[in-house]
Amino acid sequence: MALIDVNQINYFYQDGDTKRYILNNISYSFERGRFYTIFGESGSGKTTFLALLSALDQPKAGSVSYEGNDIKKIGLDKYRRNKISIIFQQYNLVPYMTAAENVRVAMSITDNKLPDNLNEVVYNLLDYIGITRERADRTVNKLSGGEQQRVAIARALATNVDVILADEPTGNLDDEMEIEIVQIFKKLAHEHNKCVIVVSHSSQIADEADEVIKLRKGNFESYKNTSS
Amino acid sequence: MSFFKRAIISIMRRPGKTVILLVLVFILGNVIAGSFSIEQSVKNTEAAVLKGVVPVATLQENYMKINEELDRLLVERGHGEPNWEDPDFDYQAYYDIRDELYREIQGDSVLNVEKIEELGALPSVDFYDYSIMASLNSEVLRKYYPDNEDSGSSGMGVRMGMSAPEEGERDWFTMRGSQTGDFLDLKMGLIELVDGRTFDDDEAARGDNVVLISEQFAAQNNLQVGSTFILNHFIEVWPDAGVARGGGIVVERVEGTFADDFNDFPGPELAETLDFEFTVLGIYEPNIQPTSNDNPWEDTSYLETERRNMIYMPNSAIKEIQKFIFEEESENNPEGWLAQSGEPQEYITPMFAFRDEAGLNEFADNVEAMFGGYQWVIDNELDFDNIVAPLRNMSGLANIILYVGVGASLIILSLLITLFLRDRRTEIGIYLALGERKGRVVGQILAEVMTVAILGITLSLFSGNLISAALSNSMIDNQVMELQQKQNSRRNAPPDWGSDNQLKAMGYGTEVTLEDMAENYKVVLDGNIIIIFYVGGIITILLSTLIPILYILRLNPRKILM
Repeated sequence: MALIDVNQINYFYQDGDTKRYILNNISYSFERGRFYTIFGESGSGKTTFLALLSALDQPKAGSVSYEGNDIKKIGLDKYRRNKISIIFQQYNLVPYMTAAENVRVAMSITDNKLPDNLNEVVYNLLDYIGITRERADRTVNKLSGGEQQRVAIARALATNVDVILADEPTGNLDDEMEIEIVQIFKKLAHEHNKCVIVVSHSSQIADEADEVIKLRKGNFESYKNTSS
Repeated sequence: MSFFKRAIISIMRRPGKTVILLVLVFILGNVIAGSFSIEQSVKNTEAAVLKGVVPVATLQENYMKINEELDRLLVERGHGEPNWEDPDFDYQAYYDIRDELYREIQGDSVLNVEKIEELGALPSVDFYDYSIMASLNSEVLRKYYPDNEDSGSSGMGVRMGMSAPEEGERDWFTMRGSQTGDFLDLKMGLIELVDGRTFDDDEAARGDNVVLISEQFAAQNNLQVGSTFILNHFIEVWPDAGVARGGGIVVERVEGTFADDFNDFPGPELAETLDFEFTVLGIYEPNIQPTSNDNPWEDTSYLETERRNMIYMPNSAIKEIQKFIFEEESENNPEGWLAQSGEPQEYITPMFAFRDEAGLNEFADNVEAMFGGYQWVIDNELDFDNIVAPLRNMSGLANIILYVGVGASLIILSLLITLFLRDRRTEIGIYLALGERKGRVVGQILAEVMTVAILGITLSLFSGNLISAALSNSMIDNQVMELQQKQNSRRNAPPDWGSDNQLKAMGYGTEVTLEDMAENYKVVLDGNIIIIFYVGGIITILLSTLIPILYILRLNPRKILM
């Protein structure tokens, strides 16, 4: 059974009397343990698609389901809190908090069951993602871009959700760092059985993905499916 | 990590903004705390000074309103102003018309016993009584004159015509009646019974000539409880050349100057002497504070002399005396003013006592409704109102500053918090993107603002109090100086005869000065002020965060983060 189903979703902007379609009748299913890349040019609608998957916006028509349940029925806030994690291109960390505190914030928001020794888990998680304990106690604006994105990934993992959505996660990173981040995503999908959906215009990420969905003028045009 | 812990981290890690908010709340808090302290302190001072002062009131005809109406009617009905230059002007006719119109205007607004009893039955009235006054003479008995012994009064010697008459000349005595033996002066401690007793209900009902006299009057005239003494009414007839009128003389116009005519005018002739015998039931001591005012125009020692010689007795006895005098005057002096007035003279002075100021205010409303503004309510707090006016002005100013301060706080804090939140849009967007409940995001902002604000409020409570104490004490000192200068500048001018003199004359004036008020005025932080200030401050801060909270609720995380 698919983890996330996208059913006939439309999204458009109203421009006077005319509708400017961003997404046009798109349907797709996403499963656990796979690394997806939604690939496309700027303005192709890939970020909008991710916003709909992450319930930060709602389709004008159609629906998004999680384990067969419409996310509206689950509740958009609750869905974001307990079912998915989002990683942004700009990292979007709370600037005056340390790396560890940023991770703790996400853990304090989710209703999911978490281990009792949260402090230890936070530092282990950051260590796993490549942030040492000493770096973990620094406020995030003192970390490099790559480190901040790692913290954002650690925050995404900390809530113990099955779906990780990322919007251009390597957009601000150099190639070397991009490779490292992509490897982390692959590991999360293949070793931790997460459903990782990354929106990107990077061909390097697309090359590493299990499935690549190309968005062009609001439609899915072609798919790469490396395994099933 | 709870939203409160997030709030604390935010406060600690963003010291610049925290300090800006703290300083702003501190400044606004000082304005509010200062003005609030002044307002409360004035109230406390008034309450402290007035503590134990029982509100008492009497009624007095509103002659200003009646005269205005009279002038209007005279013009309206074509009588106009009298022409004093016209030798043929009919003064008698003019005054008859005035009298007639006066009675017409008075109409139902004349104060009588029925109306006093109706007012006395009001729930706002704690106790009421009324006095019929009389004045009798004696060529033998003498009043007690404090100045004769230089006894604590102003020591100016013979002033305001209050010297003892020569031997054989007449002295006059005021009798104050009451419906009950337990009359208001006794109840309120204006006099204290030191010997004998007061009259009982039977004596009051029968109209016995039983009296209470002062210790000094008793000593002056060798009277004790059980003694009897006689006072007189002298019926005097004026020669035909004059026309008696209203207690004065209107001389027919003849050749020559008025002064020459008056000096040549023959005096009255004694027609009959009426004797009234009184029995002393009780002796009282008047409770009079010595005055210390050196301004002869503001000398009230004659009022004190009156109070030291007041003869208290039943109203019914005075009525009998007045009736008898009227009958005898009518028979022996039919052209005299008393016979001409057509009825015995009964000047009724009502007195009403109240439990509190609210009762007095309610009573005043009832009087206004009953008499349509033709009766003034003269109360013993009028004096106090004048004294406290500068304090109330300051309190009024503080009140305005308080409202402006609260209004400014609402606007300035709203704008500041909104501006701060605009800087934190991303942070709030992150929380919302992580699925945080909006209520908890609002809770975090409130917790941050309230923590800083409560610190600011606490600091400003004390500093505002100190500042307001220094400021208001200085303002009061200036006002006391101004008042003293005003008083000095009118040393030789007639006094402002206030409408409260009637009560003052009876000993019910409020002896409070601005200096007393200034001495009693203290800006203190009591529990009440602290609680009200905190509650008011917290409500103001909560209201200030309403707009910022609306801002948070409208935020769309996608627009912020993607």
